[in-house]
Amino acid sequence: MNLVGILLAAQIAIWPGTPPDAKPVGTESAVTVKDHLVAGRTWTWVTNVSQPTITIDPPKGKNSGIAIVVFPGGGYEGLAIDLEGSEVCDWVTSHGMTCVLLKYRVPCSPQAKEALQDAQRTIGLLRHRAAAYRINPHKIGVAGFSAGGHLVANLSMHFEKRAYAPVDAADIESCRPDFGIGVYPGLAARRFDASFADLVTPRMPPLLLVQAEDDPVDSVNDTLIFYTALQKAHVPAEMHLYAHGGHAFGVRPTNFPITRWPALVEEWLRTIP
Amino acid sequence: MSAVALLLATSIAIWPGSPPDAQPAAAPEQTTVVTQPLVAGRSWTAITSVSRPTMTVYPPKGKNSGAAVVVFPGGAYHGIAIDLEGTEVCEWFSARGMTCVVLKYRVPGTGPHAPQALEDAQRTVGLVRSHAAEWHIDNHKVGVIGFSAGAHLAANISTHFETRSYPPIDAADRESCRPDFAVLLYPGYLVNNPDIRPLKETPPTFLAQAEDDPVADVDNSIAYFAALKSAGVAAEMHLYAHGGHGFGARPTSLPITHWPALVEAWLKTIGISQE
Repeated sequence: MNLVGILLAAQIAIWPGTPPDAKPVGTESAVTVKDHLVAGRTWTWVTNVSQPTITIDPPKGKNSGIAIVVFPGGGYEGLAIDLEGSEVCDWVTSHGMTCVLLKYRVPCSPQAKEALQDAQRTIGLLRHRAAAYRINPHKIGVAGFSAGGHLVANLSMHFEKRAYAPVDAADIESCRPDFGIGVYPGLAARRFDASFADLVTPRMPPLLLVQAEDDPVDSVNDTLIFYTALQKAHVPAEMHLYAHGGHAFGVRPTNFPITRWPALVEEWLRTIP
Repeated sequence: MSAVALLLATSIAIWPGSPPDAQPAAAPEQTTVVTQPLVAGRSWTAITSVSRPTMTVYPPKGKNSGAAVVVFPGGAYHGIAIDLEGTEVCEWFSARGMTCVVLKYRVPGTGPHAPQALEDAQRTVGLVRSHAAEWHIDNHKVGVIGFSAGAHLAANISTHFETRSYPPIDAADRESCRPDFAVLLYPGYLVNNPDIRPLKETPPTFLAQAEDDPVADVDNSIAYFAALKSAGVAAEMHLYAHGGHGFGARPTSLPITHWPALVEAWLKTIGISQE
């Protein structure tokens, strides 16, 4: 069984019944993308996700107690489930952290409310089951790529109140992530429900942002604007902008220094409380 | 001999006679060991009242990459943190096969809006190019790195290289004084500064700063990065939540102090050094 096969085998549904705001989509499918190779390799595109799931990868070696929930990108139309999902988990688990890959619902409505609901539900579930999953409920972070980076920002600004009617005890837990990582975040992928000035508060978790100036999909300008709002609200934030690197490189290393971003995250995680 | 004593012993005057726009020296040049505050647990050295600017050349150790860098220490255009943001930086660059030049530019009152520090910087980059054959330097790989006020000076020369700010004196002033790359650490004086307007020929630039910098706001880096981007100049910027100001190249537990490793990777991508 290949990586994607293993991943699909171990999925846990995040909602006990039908998810909130469910709407009919086509049959879920996974396609190998061969015409836009990344670092010379193919990747997998999943779409028509109506039953969101998590896949939990325990840490290799010593367990730090830290968990990272990974939000793959795909413009809220699909999910780059290996490139920005399972491969990220390989990096996460090799550093003693639990990786939780969230296959959130796509395609999404204009405000991507379903994805936010799925993200909120997941953080609550993990806190609720922290002991069983051997994770520290105060060290649950999120990492998102492209549209998944939008979701990181959205969740970091919307954790005080669930975007759905509570279902069970998991929804009583806080869904504030303890830290957030946005890699080439698609901050313009969907409109937020208010301006950054209204949404960014000092209660937000520490954030780390990485992007390239020559990103042809998501503009570094949006990231600069977001960072400036964070800074004004005194949210501890770290931002790494590079001249070159493009978009959607995941964790596949190339000659571009930006592809060494995981090393910056590793250092950063040691400095945040 | 200490690093600072060695520097002073081997320094070369950059102007053959009196520098342009010379101001009467208010006091003799003074060297002070600063212990408040310590940086990474160590003292550092400030030089004030510099009226005779000099440069000190550190040849590459090991294999010569052909690249050279001129270091502009900081000190708010009032003094020069000569070791913390000068000789120690050169130790790092020369260990990586680069020729490194510490510029002890004129202070005080010589910037950000006065001409003298920029004149010293322009003169020095031209001088380094005029010595290229003798020092085994590739004339197309001469960059600058600056700290705090020195980072402003790096931005200033990156945007003022087409004409000298002083009447040419000799052959060194016929060499280009455009840096081939610029590294700015915790820059100041770049917010709402109409003198700093990047051109499309402004060199590739690397910026690093901390959000909790109590001296120069991180807005300095953001404003300059945005201006570089508008001018189409390739730029890399690393902003950290914590780190403060004036840490030089002394590593601590704060990730920002590991900026030299990021510069090393960046210099490869802009073609200044090889893999």
